Amino acid sequence: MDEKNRKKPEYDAGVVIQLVTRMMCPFIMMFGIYLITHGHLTPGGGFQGGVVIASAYILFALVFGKTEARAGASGFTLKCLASTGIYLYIGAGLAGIFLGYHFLANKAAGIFPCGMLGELLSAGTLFWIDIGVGLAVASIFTDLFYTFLEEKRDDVYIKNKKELPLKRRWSDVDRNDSE
Amino acid sequence: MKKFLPALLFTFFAFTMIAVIMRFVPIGDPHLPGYADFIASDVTKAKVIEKADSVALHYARNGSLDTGALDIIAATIFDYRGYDTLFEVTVLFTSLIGVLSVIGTKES
Repeated sequence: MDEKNRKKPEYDAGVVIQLVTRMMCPFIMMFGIYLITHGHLTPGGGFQGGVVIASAYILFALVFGKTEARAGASGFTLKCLASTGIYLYIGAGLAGIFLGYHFLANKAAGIFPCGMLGELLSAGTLFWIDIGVGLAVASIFTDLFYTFLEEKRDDVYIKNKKELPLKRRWSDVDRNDSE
Repeated sequence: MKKFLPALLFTFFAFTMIAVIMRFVPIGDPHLPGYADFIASDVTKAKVIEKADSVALHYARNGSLDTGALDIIAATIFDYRGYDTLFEVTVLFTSLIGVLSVIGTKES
């Protein structure tokens, strides 16, 4: 691509950090998915894996800027994923009720495969609850951080004609801009 | 009608909760499963604690058999304490909604 036509990033962190982030992000996400899906076999679970996945998104937003980060994970998508996670949890609970057992009945209902002890698809509802919690936590933390990044309070001060308390917030820093 | 329906719902739920409370075991009963371990610790003998039918011992022994999970912590927080985890996630979701309603923009 032509160097002039390339869109100028809002925040240039430097080649080294960008390259390392590009290499690290998939592995961080893979580790998070491992923590979520193996939550009933190894230490870890939905909360921990979800936070690890969200940390990959936060790292991406810190290095490449908020616009490029939002291009991959819009607020609508993240809120849909968060709701899907919670509905997965509630649905796994309601399935027990519809089969004549109590809410969140696991082995007694026997809807989901229970398998052998130690297999991946073994713990009945626990596996699906883990995935639901992981989805919800990852998307909620990502959306929280991105929302705080996009917060605009400068226009409030401009409207009141007061001096800005900080010249610029760190998320708006442009390194190429010479003071 | 608008005031009648909430009153009816309130009466129904209040009646249900009071009926559940009436069936509770008496508070402070020393023979409850949760208290048995505490009583046995006075003797400071391991064998007495072994005999005690405490909730924690039951979780530690039968956790993987009850739930099918190899990890005892996952068995506890997702199966035995499933309601707790469900509402933890709901609290997180509510916090996101609160933040979005205060500083969220239109497109987010």
